[in-house]
Amino acid sequence: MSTNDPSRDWFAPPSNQPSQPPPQPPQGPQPPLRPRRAQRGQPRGEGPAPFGSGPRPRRATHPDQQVWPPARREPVVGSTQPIPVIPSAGPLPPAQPAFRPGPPPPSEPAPPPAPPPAAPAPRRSRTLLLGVGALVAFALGMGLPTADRYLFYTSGQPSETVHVVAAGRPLTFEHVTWKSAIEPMKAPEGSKPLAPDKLWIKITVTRTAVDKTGAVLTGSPKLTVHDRQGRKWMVETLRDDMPTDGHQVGQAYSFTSVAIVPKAVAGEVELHLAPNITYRSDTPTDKLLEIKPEDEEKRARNDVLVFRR
Amino acid sequence: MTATDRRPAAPRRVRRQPPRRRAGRAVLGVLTGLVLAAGAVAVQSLELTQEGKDAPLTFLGAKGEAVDAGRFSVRVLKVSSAKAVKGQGGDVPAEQLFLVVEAEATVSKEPVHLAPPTLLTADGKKFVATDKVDKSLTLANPWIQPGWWSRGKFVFEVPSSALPGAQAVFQLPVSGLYSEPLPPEAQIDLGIDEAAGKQLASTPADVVDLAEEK
Repeated sequence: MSTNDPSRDWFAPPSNQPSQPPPQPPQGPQPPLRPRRAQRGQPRGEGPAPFGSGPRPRRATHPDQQVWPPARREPVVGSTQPIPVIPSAGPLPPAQPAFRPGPPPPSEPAPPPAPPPAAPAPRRSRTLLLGVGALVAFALGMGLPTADRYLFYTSGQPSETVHVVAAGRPLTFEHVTWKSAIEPMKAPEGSKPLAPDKLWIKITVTRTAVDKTGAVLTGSPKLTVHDRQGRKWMVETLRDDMPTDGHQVGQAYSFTSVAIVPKAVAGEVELHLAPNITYRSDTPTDKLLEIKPEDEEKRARNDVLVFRR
Repeated sequence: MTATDRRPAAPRRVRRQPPRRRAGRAVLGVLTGLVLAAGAVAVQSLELTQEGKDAPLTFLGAKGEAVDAGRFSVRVLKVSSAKAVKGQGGDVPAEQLFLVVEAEATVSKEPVHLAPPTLLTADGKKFVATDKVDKSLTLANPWIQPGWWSRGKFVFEVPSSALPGAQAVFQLPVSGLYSEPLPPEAQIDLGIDEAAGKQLASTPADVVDLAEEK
């Protein structure tokens, strides 16, 4: 290692050290390979000479032909650990550029052109993926809070539980029997004249307490009228002389309400009656605001009686 | 090897890059990271405020056309000005100027009440409908029901400078605890240009009767 010859590999023995032919090759298949390679790599003669040329080492005559150790037994990049020189083993497999004067510079730029043809497709799909990801993130960012607020809103608007009442028949529901009738009526006194396509209708609701509980469930029901397309009209109470307290069990009480509907649907509108099944007229005043679990359950059910016509 | 080098190309080549190129790459990576981080912070500032999240869905329109806001439709029929309006308790004089908007409204399914509207001026100021006039005399009083248009008036008290380019914004009343997300609103251009604004400001009617032909 005293000389500093740039053409010599780092771990090659110094030039003044006589390189020796390898000792007994340990592997079986190696011996036959050696002569064959030597012949192929040496077309200009002197092929079979090695063993007959006396003490002169074979390597000196074929400096560019690697014979031992077998070329590329291991990947060159397999280890970064320096390997100590084995004088008897001859030079290590040479690094590619060391023996090629010209090729290295051309071979460096050669690979870069290769990626570009392959590049556009992954890049396009990556851009697509980014775009889709951005859209999904935006939709989730806007949609999730809105959906959350909508669910909160609907939690305060329980859906209706519908109980259908056959035309002209009464229905007993929660201790009270309900009955209703709808008929056209003259405009109430003092009302403004209606447009010709509108009509006043009169709604008579009759309630009868079935038992003592029904006699104290005197809260006013909420009334609306609906047509078959689901349109809805408000109903206002015209006359309500029911006693607010002390209903008799089995006695029928009536009250009258009015609504204005389009003349075209006046014959088909149906009464929707949401009874108040939580207010009891015998509740002591200091317990009026008490929240009872069974009342909450009834409120969540949101019962509606639909009177067919 | 740097972390940004994703090419599977021979690692030997990377290892052999001149140190200057490697340093340049590192600087570029740091700069890219800073730009991305700054961008992420900047995007945070675009987040909607609570007010923005609660803002209604606005449906735009002009005077004379029916503006369908989904739950209800409104049409502005006529805009006039007055020095006083006649309510139930006699004439109410204006300190500034009464802008009387005559409108009609309907719904497709569910009956609603309209809330007293807001007047949005060209420079972004907002005026609520005046409380000098009882709500029961305005279109906010009747139920807006399906099948027909209900007609009525709304009264604003505004300075005459607010008239050109003013728009009326109609909303539904806010319900209590379970307020609706994205409630509808109809924003209607009243069609007052400079000349019409001057006309309204200079020649107000003496008295407008809110009860007539409602």
